[in-house]
Amino acid sequence: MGLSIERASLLSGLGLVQGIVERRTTVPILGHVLIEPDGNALTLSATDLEVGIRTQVACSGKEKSLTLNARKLFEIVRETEGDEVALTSLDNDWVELKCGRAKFKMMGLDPRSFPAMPSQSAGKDSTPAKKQLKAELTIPAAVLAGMIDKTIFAVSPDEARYNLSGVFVESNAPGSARMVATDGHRLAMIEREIPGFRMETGAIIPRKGLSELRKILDESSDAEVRLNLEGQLAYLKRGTTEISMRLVEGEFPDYRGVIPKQSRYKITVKRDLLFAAIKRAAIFSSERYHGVKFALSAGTLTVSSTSPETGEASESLDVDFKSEEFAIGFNAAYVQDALGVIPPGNDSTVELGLSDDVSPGVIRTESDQQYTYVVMPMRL
Amino acid sequence: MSVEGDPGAEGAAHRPRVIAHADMDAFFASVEVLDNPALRGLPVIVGGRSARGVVTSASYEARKFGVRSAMPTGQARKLCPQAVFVPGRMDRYVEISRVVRRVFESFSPIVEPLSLDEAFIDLTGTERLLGPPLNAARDLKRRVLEETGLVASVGVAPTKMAAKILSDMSKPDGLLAVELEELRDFLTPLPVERLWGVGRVTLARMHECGIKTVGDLARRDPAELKSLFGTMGPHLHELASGNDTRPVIADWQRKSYGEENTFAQDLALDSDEIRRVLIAHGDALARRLRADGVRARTVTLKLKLARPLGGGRYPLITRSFSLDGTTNDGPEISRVATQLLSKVGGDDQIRLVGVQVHQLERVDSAQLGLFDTGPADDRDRKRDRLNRALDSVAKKFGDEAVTRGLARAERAAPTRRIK
Repeated sequence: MGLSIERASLLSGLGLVQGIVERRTTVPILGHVLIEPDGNALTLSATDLEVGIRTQVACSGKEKSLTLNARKLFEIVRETEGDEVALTSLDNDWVELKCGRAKFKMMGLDPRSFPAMPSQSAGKDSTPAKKQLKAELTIPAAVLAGMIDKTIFAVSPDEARYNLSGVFVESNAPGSARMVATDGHRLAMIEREIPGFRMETGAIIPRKGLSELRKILDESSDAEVRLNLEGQLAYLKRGTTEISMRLVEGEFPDYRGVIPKQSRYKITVKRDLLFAAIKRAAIFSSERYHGVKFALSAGTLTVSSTSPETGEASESLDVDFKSEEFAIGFNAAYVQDALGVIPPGNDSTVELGLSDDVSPGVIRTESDQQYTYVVMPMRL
Repeated sequence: MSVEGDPGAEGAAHRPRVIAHADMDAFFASVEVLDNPALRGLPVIVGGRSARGVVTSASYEARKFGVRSAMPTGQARKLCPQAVFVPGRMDRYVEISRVVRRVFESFSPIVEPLSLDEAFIDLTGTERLLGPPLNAARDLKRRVLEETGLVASVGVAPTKMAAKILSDMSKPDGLLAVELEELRDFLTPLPVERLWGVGRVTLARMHECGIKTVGDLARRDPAELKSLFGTMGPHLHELASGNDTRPVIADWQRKSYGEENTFAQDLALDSDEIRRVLIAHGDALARRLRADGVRARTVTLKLKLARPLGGGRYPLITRSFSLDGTTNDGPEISRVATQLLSKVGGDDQIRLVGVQVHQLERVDSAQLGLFDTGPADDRDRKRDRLNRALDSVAKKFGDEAVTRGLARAERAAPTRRIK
């Protein structure tokens, strides 16, 4: 009895499940990873009941199924130095682990008590009137990764606002996929041509699940992946790794209504210059609100911050602005978030659309016309 | 800006705090004399004229006859028939109070007003700017006199309680200070009722236990005091020992605002009068929130029932509700308070009604919301404009210049600011 696993591949497999196991769980088994050997491979599974992941790692030997604390196991495998990890089950769910000259004994739990991966709950659909969700997004891994990266940061961290706690996916027109995320203060929207894609009704993919899903996508790969959206679940399989998650129930807000159709002023600035200027100006913005002032006058955009207790900062940029002067306040972090996902470079420009100091600002970029970012100002 | 900061605790480890308590002498009566010099030298009594009206302020000339604040007007009339009785002009007192407050604030950013006529001023660390505390306090008195023509008494001490006791002992036109080393000696001979929290009931118990002075209390074992007076016991022991670490909290650091008043006559729970008072409280709170540039999320209704529990105590009921958003609007605060009132059952008579707001958020740097643009928020914006207009009217003509038709709180018992 006993398994032998290559340390490096076990480490990467355990790395994938780390994001899903609960850090502070009252249910001990949710902090565990299920290890199920079957022939030349073992399957690692972890779930927090909302999101589940399964991945395979090659192994040799024979062993029964077992569970171990996912974090401890990860630390052990990361800190040890041998090439192979040997796992042997002992009595009463205890497990012995050897790697190099180090030896560990860990207590596991009964693998039969390990919960199932999220699945469609039969009969739970209480809204038969609502159109049944059933869609399949077949998309190059790199494109999906980019869509996630450019929206997920705008998801609300406030779990009480559950309908904002994920990225909304829908098809605005046949052959097009759209992702939208908002926390109520700013909104990020991206659209991509996906021939043949159709979706009758939109779905909200939870942030945690989506960010775990993102980890298994290779941003340099043109290979297609398939994201299944059906009923209450999202599911994606890539190689020997599969991830499934329960979709967020709730109505995504009417986001179309808050994207300005047009802005009174449009200013084009170099992305890198603006990014750096905000970073410097934000040094004196308050820790709590991060307020930064954007003042426009003929030919100049001045980014500044003041803190009565610590000091003030300001920096001017040349812009093509000719109208009457005006100023608007923004949370520096909200603007930086958007600029952060726009590729840097000497030629990279962004267009700021502004109207007045209480109307939303719009950020777009030459390099990706299908990306729109909307941010509400702050009263300064 | 750190709002959570505890200005007292930080410096406490390194150096004693310097806290001034400034209290205007016979404030309302003095304002009346100031505005009508013919009253100078006469016994002047400010107070309501209703059946249960009480004296709200008496000049020192009237105090010689035994007239005191909170005494029924009828009794005052008996003690001092020749006194000049005036009904009181809250607007004018508020106006002068603002001037006084500005003087205080020119000495320290940390000023905690207790009412219209008294405040704590944290002078810790101002020596290099203002000189020794006693000099600063002397300047404070002089500046108040110059700017208002009125006299303030000031106490200076390392604790809030001692400062307040000192200003009171120094009246009229006094200035007293104690330093940290003298604090115990100063407190020891004082009658125990000088301590905050020692009311009638506690005092009687203390006398039974042979505790007459602050020193008597300080010598007792805190554990014994706990068995005698509950959790209050050890707390009073700390105060008696000169350990009063409560910081001076300026308006901009505060965590809540409150308004309450005790009725001249007990009111029925479902009376229109109570609802009117709630409207007045809502407006008063909202005005203070707006003046300080904050908005509140939670509204608490406080009721004191008229059925006595004995020993001068009455049952207290509180009910709270948290809004989805935040507000600085009077009608909204009153609406929530009224809803909370309607959920209180029973047919009790009410002695006191108060409204508090908590969970404050500064407005001046508020982040606007993307989805706040519906029709409901158009209403918000209109309300904002209306409130701004009302505030500017109040600033120019006084708080009573424009009031809601329904908001008729009884004049005899002016709303008292708490916290």
